[in-house]
Amino acid sequence: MNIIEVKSLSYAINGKKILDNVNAVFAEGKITAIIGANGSGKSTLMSFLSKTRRSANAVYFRGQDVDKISAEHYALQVSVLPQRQKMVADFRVEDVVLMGRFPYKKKFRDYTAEDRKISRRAMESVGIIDMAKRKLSQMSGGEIQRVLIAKALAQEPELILMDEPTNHLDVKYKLALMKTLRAYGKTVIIVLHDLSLAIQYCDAVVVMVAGKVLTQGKTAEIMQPALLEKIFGVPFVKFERDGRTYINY
Amino acid sequence: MRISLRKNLYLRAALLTLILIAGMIIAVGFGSIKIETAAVIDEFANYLRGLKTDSPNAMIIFDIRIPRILFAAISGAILSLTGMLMQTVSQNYLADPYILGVSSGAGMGAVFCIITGAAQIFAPYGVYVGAFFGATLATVIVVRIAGTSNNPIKLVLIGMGISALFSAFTMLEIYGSKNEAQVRSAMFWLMGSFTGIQWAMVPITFAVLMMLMIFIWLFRHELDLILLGREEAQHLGLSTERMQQAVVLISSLAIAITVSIAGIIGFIGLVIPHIARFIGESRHAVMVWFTSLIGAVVMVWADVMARSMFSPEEVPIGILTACLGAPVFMQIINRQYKDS
Repeated sequence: MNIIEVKSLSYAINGKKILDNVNAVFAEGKITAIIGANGSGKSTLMSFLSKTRRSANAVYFRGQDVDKISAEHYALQVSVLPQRQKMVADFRVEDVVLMGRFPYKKKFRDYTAEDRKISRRAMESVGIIDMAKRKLSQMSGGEIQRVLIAKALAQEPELILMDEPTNHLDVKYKLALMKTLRAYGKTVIIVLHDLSLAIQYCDAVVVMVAGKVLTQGKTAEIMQPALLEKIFGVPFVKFERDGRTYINY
Repeated sequence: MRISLRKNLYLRAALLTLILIAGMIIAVGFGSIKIETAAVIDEFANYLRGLKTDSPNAMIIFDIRIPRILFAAISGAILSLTGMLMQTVSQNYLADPYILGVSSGAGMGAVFCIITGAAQIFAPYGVYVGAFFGATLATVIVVRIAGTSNNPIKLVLIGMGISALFSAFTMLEIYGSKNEAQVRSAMFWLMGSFTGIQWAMVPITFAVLMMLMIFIWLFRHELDLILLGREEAQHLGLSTERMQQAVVLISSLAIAITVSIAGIIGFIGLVIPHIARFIGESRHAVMVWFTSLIGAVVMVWADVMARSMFSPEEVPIGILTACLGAPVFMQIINRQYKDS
């Protein structure tokens, strides 16, 4: 079963094609990585999946055109972790995570005890429960990233969209994040630069080159040195150790 | 149980309320004629006991000073809350009705209505209507030109341009006017003043303050989301555009009323939310109380300074807030926007 299907999606800015007839499917309950060189259209594709851009009948969520799904309703099923933007707000960690419950909140009302319980659980799952009272201004980029990840989890979505979430994270937290996503058990679509993470934690891979989907399929079949060399222009080696697969350049 | 000021928001808010009320009582004594606090309290006691006195002190206190102090407190809260709303919607802590040119727009609209006689069409609210259109026009222009730019300095520079333009229009209108009686004074529309505040002006400003506070309270969670980030808010299912339009409308209305009555008072809307975030916290459920309380306290004392610095002469309040606020504005830019 596919949770999201992209059918013949093209997109251009000032005549320059950013996405060129993209077709892709994302399987329910799986973690799918989108990989590709800089400027290959990964983030743009994500912006269509997250409903940031109107898709003109090209993106379907469980068979329904996403343009026809209201933002309120979509937020109940899909949570989005965009590439980090500059933030001025100096909220406490627990308040930010609680905002993930906004789609469930009744108008003009406060968040419920249930909402607080769920957001506490989300903070525990990314290991920031001890920082709950701290303010964002007292935190590092990586810590803030984990707060936003907790917020995405508190949203209890069927699908999580993440654009390079590992960017600000130490190795330890990169691995912890991928494990958390695995444990969450729902569908995840994630733009990744770290190919080793993709090969270890993702079920499927979509490979983008110059606005097109070059290929997509099961991770083990796609992540071959020959193909990666073609995409990124540098030689790759793939090796196994203790039953795990690694890829390096 | 030990009560900690550092941890307890309610305690801090209560303390601020106390400071506000005490300040307002003390402020009654200041002015071109100094009245001792003991005498002020005496007059209050007489009033509460139902004893009417026609002493000059009583007249000064009840007819001149009290409405003025009430108005100062209310307008301080309104300007601060409006500044806070603008900072939230633009995610820019440099935003303020004065800096973005909204106050100048209101001033221009008011003067235009008075001079062309259009004010009579909507009498007795003609000046307010004119100011409202001017303020809305200025806000719409700022929002249009700044677009979705997330460069905080760009927004400020556009605001400066708009402010310069509307101030020039105001001066042109005043300069071209044949009927001097129609124009109270050029300085009034360019730099605010609390001279001539009467009881009649207090209820309407109080109504505006209530409207602002209720709006912010009802949408406290939505405003939190927008402050976190417009994109984040949209992904959580919030229509940020509709929220932005509501804020534009309500803040234009608030600014129109205060500017119509007291002229342009700058920098309060910029500085107070910063202090409120420092003493309180960033959530709007907290900010709505702290911003209005601190705004009221500061304005009451700024007005005391304005009345007593060169007593019996009075400094227009707008000049005073600019003297105090402009250095803070520069300091905020210097601290928060380091060259990368």
